[in-house]
Parts: sequence; structure tokens; C-alpha cells
Amino acid sequence: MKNTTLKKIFDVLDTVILERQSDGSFDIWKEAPVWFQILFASCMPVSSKLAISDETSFLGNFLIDAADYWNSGKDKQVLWSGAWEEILEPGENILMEAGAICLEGRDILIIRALFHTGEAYKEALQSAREEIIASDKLALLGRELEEYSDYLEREVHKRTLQVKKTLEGVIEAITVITEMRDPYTAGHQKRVDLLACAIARKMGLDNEKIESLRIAGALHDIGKIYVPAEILCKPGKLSDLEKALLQAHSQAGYDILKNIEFSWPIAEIVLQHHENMDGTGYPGGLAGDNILLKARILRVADVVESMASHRLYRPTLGSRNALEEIESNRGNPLRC
Amino acid sequence: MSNESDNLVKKKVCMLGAFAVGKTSLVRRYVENMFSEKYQTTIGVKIDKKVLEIEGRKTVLVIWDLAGKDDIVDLRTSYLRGASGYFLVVDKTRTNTLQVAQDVQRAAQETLGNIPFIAVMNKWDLEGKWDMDEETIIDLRIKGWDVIKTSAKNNTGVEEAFMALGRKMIIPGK
Repeated sequence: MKNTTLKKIFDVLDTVILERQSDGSFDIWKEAPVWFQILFASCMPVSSKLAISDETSFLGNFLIDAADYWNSGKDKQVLWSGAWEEILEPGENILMEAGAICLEGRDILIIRALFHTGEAYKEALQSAREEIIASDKLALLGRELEEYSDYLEREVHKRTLQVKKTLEGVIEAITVITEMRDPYTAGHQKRVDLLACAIARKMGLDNEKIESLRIAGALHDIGKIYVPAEILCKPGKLSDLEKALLQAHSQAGYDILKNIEFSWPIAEIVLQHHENMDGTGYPGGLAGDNILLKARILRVADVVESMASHRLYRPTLGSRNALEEIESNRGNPLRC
Repeated sequence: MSNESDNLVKKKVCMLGAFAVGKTSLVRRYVENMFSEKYQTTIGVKIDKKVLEIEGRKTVLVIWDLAGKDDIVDLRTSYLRGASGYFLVVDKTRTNTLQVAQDVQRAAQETLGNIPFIAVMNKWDLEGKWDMDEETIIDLRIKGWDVIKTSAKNNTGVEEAFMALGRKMIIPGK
């Protein structure tokens, strides 16, 4: 029913007016509607009288407040009980409200059924609460998503660390295998790696580039696996054939590494680590900017470390001499 | 010689907690053994009755199902007057309903003193949507709360909860 005035009229028609008597019972002013007679049958000794004594009932509880209100002598203000619902008969409930008022010295009790206004209020309240529940669920979902995203981030970080650790272990193992075949240069790759990173840091390269140099430095001589141990350990001068076999290690290193998916061009750096700026290096004879910057850094580090270390075919030239060599060739194409 | 009605003990029990935690569903399951998935908000107070036997004594539980507390509806403490016990109903899928239950418990204690009450963790069947861990329940028990896990939907723990509160009200110290 959409007409508000009509709703109010219907509600008024479902109102029972009672007057409190000195013995605490109530006289009913007009004939009580059927719902009232059903609901309060046990409290109506006669059809025109209501006697409530049970304080566990809603009305009994309200009458305690109503008595205080009547006794306070306030006038023309209604004290409302708030709505309450009781079972009228199985499957049918009724929503009511009670009010206490003093009228011309009489203590009046109003009990009205909220057939219509109650339903409208219920609808409005229900709709408001459903919205709150929906937004709570949305907030919960948001929290869950955020927690899941944090969890994923932690997992990715954990896995990345695991992969990095595994990679480092593999690199370490390869380095050891490479150097086992040439014990006289043991530690060379590690030292080249440290030198290359130090140079890169001095040049202001970012951490990503330094990391790629670290890996390339640790693996740059991996191709020596293909070079016969007699050549690697030969104390005297190498023949042209032996030299060619030794020089093939750059290409061999590239071939070993080219199919591994590093985040950086490690295989290319390893391939170019014997190229010279003037194009006299090997295997490609590349020159200048055609050589990767990181391969150039690795080249310098490799040369300095070789000169500073003892070799079977010559004693150490010393770090000072190695650095002086680099210093004196500053700005010139590097030859080795 | 007394008749049967003279032996009847009447006890008022209040259902308290946030809105939509399942107070009405628990009462409906207990009184009528029925359940509806549809949420129906309670206006004011809904009164129900159920006769049960506790330790050989017939008891009428007058159940006051109070509208859930939220920003729109506040708890009218006058409704608690005369209660012999109460349930604090918590929705295990909504963590904020536990806070409401704790607030309501404080208000109830101020009004009624130390009368028996039981905290009910409802919607236990919605396992995938739980928003509280077991530790929360353990903390409540450490605080001295009686906690019972219920599902009005699956009829889990409902009878047990009402019987437990009934015993606490009838036999002090239980």
C-alpha cells in the first residue's frame, strides 16, 4: 500500500487504548481487536480488562517503565516501548508497540499493531543492513586479497633467493671444475670477477650491471674445459696450433653458455672477453664500441690479474707493474 | 498437592550481539527446528517461548531476541531487566561481531550483574569464510567465557547451547 495517510489510518484502527486502574489492572476503552484478544487471552479475566503481572513478558517489562513515567506526572509526552514481535498463532507473528501517556490525569496505555509502518521500517532497516554486510564482505575480500598479494610477494622473494643461491652454487661448481684442470691458475676467475666488479663500481655502474659482471667474471674461462690439460699446464712457449686451441676457449665458453637464460648477455661477454679495442683480439676481431662494455671491463681485469699472478711460463710481474701498464696505456687501444 | 503449572519455572533469556550474526536463526532452529538462508532483520524484540526440562525441572524459557546492535540500532538496557541469562552471539565469518559482543557483554554486566551467559560462535558451517582463529576462542575461554560453536543451518550445538545456559540458570555453579 503506497498511500502513507491510509497506512496511518489502518495503524490507528489497530490501536487499543487502555486506562490504568488503582489496582494496577487496565480497562480497555473500546472493544479490543481480534489479534489483541488472541495474544492477551490469558491476561484478560473479562473482555474489557487486562491484568499483566508477568515481568518476563515484553509488556510486563514495559509497564515497569510506564509506571515510573505515570508516577512522575509528565503530561502530553508519549513514552514508547519500541517495537516488539510475538507469535499470534503458529506461522503468524505480529509486530506491536506500546506507549504510555498521561491525559487529563489519567494513565493511558496505548498498544498498536504495526502492520504497515512496521513493514516499511523493516524494509528500510533490512536494506541498510544488507548494504553494510555487502560492504563488510567487500572490505574482507580486499583484506584477503592484500594478504594474498603480500604472501605471493614473500614467496617470489623467497624463490628468487633460492634460485640465486642455486645459480651461485652452480657457478661455483663450474669454476672449480674449470680450475681443477689448470691448478696453476686456480683462483684466477674469482680474482678477475672481484677486479671487474671493483672497476665497474668505480665507473659508477648500477648494481644490476655489476651483478652481471660478477657472473661473467666467474665463468669467463669456462671454455677452457675444451682445451687439453697439457696445453693449459705447458710451461714453455705454445706452438701456433696450441695457441689456436687455447684461443678457442672464448667461443667454447659462449657455446656452453648461450642456451642458458641469464637475465644478462653472459655468453656474449664471455665470447668477447679477449677482444681488443683496436680489433687485434679474438675470436671476432671486434673493435671499439662493437665490444660490449662489460666485456671490455672483464678484459682489463683479466689482463691485470694475469700480469700480477705467477705463471708456469713466467714469474709474476707484480701488481704495481700491472697497474702501471694499465696506467701507461690509458686512452690507447689495449693490446695483450 | 501442587499442579504442573506451579512447578514451572519461567526464565527470561536474551539473545545479544551484532546484527546478522544469526540470533533469530538460532532461536528459530531451537524453537521450531527450522532454518532459512534468507536474512530477515529483527525489529525491536522478538519474543519466543520454549519449555524444556532441566535436571527434572520443567522450565519455560522466554526468549527475547533483541535487534542486533549497529550504528542505527543501539541496545536498550531496559530490555535486559529481569533476564536470568543471555547469549552473546558472534558471527565467526565477521571478526567485528566479536568486538560488538564484548561491548554488549560489558553493558549487560553493568545492568544485570554477574548472571550466566554463553558466547556462541555461530555460522560454524561456513569454514572457508572464517575470519577468526582458534586462538581467539581460547583467549575468550581464558577470560572465563563459556564458548559454544554453533551452526543454526546444520543444527550444530544449538540444543547444547540452550541446555547449557538453562543448567547455569537453574543450578548455580554449573
